[in-house]
Amino acid sequence: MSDSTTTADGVRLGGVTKRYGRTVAVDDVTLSIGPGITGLLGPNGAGKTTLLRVMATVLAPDSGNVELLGYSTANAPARELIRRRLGYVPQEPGFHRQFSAFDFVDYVAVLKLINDRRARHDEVRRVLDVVGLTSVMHKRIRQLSGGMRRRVAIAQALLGSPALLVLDEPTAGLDPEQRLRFRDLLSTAANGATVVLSTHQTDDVAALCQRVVVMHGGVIRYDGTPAGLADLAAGRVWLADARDPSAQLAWMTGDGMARHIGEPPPNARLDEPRVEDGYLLLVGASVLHESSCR
Amino acid sequence: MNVTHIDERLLIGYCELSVTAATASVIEAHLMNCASCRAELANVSTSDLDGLVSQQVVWDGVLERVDQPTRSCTERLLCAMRVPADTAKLLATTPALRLAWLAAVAFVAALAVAAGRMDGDGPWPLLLIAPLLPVAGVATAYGPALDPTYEIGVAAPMSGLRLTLLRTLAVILTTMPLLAVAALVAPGDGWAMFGWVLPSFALVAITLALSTAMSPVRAGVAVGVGWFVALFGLNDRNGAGDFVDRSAIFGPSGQTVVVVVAVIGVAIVAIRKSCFDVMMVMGERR
Repeated sequence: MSDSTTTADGVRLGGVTKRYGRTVAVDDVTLSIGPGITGLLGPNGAGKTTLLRVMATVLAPDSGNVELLGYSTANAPARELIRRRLGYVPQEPGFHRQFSAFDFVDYVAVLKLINDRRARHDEVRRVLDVVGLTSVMHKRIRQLSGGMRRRVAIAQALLGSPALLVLDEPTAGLDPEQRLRFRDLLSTAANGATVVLSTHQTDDVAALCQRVVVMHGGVIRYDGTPAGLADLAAGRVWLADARDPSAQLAWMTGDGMARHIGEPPPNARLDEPRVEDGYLLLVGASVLHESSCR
Repeated sequence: MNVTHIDERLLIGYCELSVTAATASVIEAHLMNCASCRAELANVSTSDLDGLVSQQVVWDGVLERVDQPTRSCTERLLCAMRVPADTAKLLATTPALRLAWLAAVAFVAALAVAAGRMDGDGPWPLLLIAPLLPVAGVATAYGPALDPTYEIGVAAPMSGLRLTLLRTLAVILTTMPLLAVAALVAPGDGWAMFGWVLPSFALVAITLALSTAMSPVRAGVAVGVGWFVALFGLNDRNGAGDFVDRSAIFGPSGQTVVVVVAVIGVAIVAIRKSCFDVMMVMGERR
């Protein structure tokens, strides 16, 4: 596990708790994130989106301290300073129907207080170029594909080259080629910035992130490198010809083999662990346990 | 062959961005096919302007003109009314500035006027309904339910209160003139027909104040219900045949109370302004 108290900048959370009624979405999370790309993994309802909203200053925690880019979010003037250097893609970004891609990003640039029109338009063209949408920037957003809309949302987050990028499932809806392109652009955009992204794609985490945080039930279950997460399943990943009915974590793979995590099924051979294996070992069993208790 | 080229003064004007958009378009079309004028443009850029206008500046100008983003009708109209372009862009997304909303307001106001004429209720239908129309406009101007860019907007450095007030102003400036026209044609006597004006401001202020604790839609509904409860309460107390005791709300003493309510609403908004900078989840400020 990485040391969560030594990073100076970026994100620093101390005992953050957030409740919705009786439901505790984030439970006493302490975490520091420095420059580079950090992936946030977790099943639905793990508290990822709530935690990212806290990191994006849109939600205030019920208790605990949130310090972003060296400023406390509890202070209104400091919050504005943070927001000037923040890029945020929510889980379900919406668009005004009448806007083109250019209009939308320009609208967000106005909200980001980029007041000089010429400079703002140049910046809008730049970020649309970064995400590869120059040729369609004057098309209405409703005419664009889901993947293109997702890239429009990413483009607005890149306005002003933010020092902190918070991306909630940015690769949702992207096809494999677009995901590769996204990884490429994020690696470029992340140069020197603190990037936190949530995803369900463990291969995105393996390809992009220097660090991965696994959340489940509002608490952090793992904080370390993707390789370290894969290593959690070392010696516990088995391939067999058939799925063992008694296995809790097992599934058929594309090559007709049954992949098991945990105890070895009969006639199985040991396989190299992947990030996905470590992740499922952490949260998969508890998810199954929860569903069996209902 | 007689070949026409662009006059040098025009090229200089083009470089200085002082020609009209139409002239610039003609120049650009010609430059696309004329190497001679392109070379001349390069000379103009580097010599006649003493290096003040670089080719990059020229290119930026071309980009800005050719690549001009499209503007909605609302945005163009606001810009024509001397509203700054940034503000016009923010206001253009307000539902209350759309034709459908304005048509709906005009329709409801016309119904209220017609009801007053037909039933002999005089100004009452309009006086009762009119204050709620700006409230409806404000309730739908900002918030997670009706603003698709709400969450991105909250994370932006622009103050949430500023955006809310801008849109509230847009609602007032579009809705109230329509209601004023309705008041002029409604049956009734003189200034009494404008008794809805102060209650409108008061209800809008209370809607904004409640929006610091709940979603604007919920706030608008609460204010609407409160308005009718207050009116029926007054009616019960009056015990007369009138639907509403006119002197109670639309008379001088009632209007004084309304002003006090408006001031309280504004004060709450001022005190709790930071609430507009955090997100609403499940209809509540979090």
